[in-house]
Amino acid sequence: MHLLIGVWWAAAGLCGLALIWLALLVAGRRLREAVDRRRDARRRRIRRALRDLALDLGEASRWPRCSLARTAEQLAHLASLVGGPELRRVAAALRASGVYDRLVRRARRGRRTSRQLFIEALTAFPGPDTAAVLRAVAAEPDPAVSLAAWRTLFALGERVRLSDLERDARRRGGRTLDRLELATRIAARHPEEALPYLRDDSISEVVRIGLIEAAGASGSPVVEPTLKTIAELAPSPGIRAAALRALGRGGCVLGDRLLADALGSESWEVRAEAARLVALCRSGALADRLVELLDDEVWTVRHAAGEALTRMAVTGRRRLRRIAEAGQGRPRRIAHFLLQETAA
Amino acid sequence: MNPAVSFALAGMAEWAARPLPALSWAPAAFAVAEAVALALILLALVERLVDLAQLLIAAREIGRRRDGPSHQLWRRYAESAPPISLLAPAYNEAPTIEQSVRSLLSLRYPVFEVVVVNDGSTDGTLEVLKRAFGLRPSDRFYDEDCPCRPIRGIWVSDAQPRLVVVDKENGGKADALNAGVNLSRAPVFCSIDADSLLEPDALLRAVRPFIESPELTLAVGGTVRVVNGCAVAGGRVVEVRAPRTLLPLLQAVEYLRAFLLARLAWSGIGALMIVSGAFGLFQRAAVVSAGGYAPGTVGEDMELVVRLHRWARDAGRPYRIAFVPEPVCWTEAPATLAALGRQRTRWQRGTLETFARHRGMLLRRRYGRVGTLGLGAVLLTDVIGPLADLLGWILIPLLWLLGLLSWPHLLGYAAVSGLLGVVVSIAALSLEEQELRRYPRVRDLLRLAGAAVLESFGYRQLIAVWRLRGLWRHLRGGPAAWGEMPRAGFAARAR
Repeated sequence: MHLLIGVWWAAAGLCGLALIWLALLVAGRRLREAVDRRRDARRRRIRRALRDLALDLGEASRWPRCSLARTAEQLAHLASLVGGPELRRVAAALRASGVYDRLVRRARRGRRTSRQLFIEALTAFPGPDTAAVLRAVAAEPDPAVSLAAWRTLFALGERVRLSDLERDARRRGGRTLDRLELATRIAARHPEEALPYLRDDSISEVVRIGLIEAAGASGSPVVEPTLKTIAELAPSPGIRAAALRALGRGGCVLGDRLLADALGSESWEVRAEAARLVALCRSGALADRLVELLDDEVWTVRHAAGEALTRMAVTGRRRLRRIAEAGQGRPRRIAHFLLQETAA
Repeated sequence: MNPAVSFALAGMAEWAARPLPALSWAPAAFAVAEAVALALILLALVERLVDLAQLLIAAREIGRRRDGPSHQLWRRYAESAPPISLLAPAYNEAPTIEQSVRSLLSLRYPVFEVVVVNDGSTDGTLEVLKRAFGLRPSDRFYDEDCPCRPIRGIWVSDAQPRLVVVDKENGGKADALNAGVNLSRAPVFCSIDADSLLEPDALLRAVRPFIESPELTLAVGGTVRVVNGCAVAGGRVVEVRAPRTLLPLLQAVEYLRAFLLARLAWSGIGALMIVSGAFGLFQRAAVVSAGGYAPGTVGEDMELVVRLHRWARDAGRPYRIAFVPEPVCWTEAPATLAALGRQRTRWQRGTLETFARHRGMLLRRRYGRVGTLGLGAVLLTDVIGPLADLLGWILIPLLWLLGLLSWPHLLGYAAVSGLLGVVVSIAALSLEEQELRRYPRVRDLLRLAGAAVLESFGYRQLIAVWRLRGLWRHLRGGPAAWGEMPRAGFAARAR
């Protein structure tokens, strides 16, 4: 009996807890909605003031009394959309009214998330003084704050090298470039700087693939030989596939031998990338290899091979027609579909 | 006072003050009554403990699965996303078919085709489609990989090159889906109900497991939610609202519990037994190898998933059948008791049919968690559950009224079956609010919370009655047919 009464009280207690959990969530939502409404009103006021400054319609002395965090948020947004004389006017007015100094102070100390926000807002104030502040912040131990500073420096057009990032990562105990997003942007802007890292086996595969794709997409002829070597010799299929993809995006013309080897690779990722590249290079000599891949065990490869054949105009269509008429099984089915679709 | 009323009241007072009849029962009757009550309480407790375990696993799983906003998904997945064939079997869907197909055609996904299978409709569904999309006959090539009734014609549209309409002889939903599988060209197909609405980014979100492990993933399910009460325009849900009437409101809570807790939890432990037929993605090659949908079944969705488990485990190949909570398919819930009763009877019949077909997997080591936990849970909640539920709610109060049980038994059963049920439903709602927040208005949340409390007292018992009817029909046998449901149609919901 006692046990059953205990079960009742336990169930009632759990029920109460569940209701309290939901009530707290509802109350939290109400609170959040009220805060959001207030913030939205402030954002609107700040946006109006910034627009007036950018268009030279207002004065910084009439700057609305709002939280600096909302100002920082809107400034970062403005800097991502507007540049040139408008942004310079805004920056000059905010420097004159002391907003810049407050932003710098808050970028140097405080909670991590708000510091990141204030650091990003400094994008609106290009100049050596801002760069010096950001370099000092980038050297701080907090990795998130430091990364925000590096990113802002890059956005300001300051020279940030992959070696700077690597040195910074090593100082913090990291062995490789762990700031992938920024690293890939640097690699895309300065592909020649990325070359040593593309070949570096000590860097993690994810980072290396990111750098390879970014450097390849830049279209720079400097990286082409390195990418070809990687596509041919890298032990990891993921990296070989990334190198092929990067070569394709960069518009490189590849030799048939490299492509033929890749089409016969054991890795389906490499085979699929190679099939896509065959179409890009219009390498008619390899069309028969593509036909073989229509019966590949992995659908991604089959799909890539089929798409490649349809892109190879007459050469590809002639082969597809032949399979549709005389082929068997899966290749015949795919050829039928592809011919119908391309006819439509 | 009316003499009749005062007579009745006097009679009731006399009955309440009666000497306890229990005093005259033999001791054996007490022992039997107590044993029955304890067994029913224990069974209900096990069911609720399973629910609570699901809650804990789901809470852990949902935290891990956060996708970004739609545009990020596109950037991330657009190049690696496999082509998808959307299979929409339709039977007598003339009022809603045009809008449903337009909604499907406007999905955000890089490469897809929509295959509508008209399963011998008698209400002019095909004519509606012909008129709406300017269909013309086509000699599209197809293999007969899966068994299906003869195909009468294939129609395509010049204006909508992604649309293919298949007209075939009536054979049931599984048969129509098999025809769709035969005609589909993509490596992944998505089965959906022709009367459901997918959110524009639902496919992009649901396809993630196929991108992450294309060879391992055999099937992926998404969330199904109740559209009643929502504002629909142009085949899309433009404003999410909780249903305004009680029955769909109760179902909305039930769907939340089923999808947000149960499916997520079972997927988390690798024993997901069902991917809803209203919205599920499947690897075509695997489905064809496993034999396609089983014609003549009522619960073809569950049957296929259990068969895929069986096929993969028999072949000893590693595989994954997953559930992703973010993609949402909106479906119309029955608004009348009669329609709901028919639907639940059919679902129960389907579940039992699948259980009976694959009972050989139960507790077999070879089938791992699927055989022990997955099918074990089906046995507990779907085979024994409805009977035990109903017996509990009838027998325990009755035995208490007869004086054979003491009030702690009654309280214990009410706690286990009722209160813990409320806990699970409220927790599902809280999880939804904490992680997904699909209902923008607090008022809707409060209404759902009210329904979550009400649901355990009356609604579940009603469902148990229909499930017993399903059990009876399963035992009696009979042909599988399309589950027809009177629909308001989405146009009626448009603002």
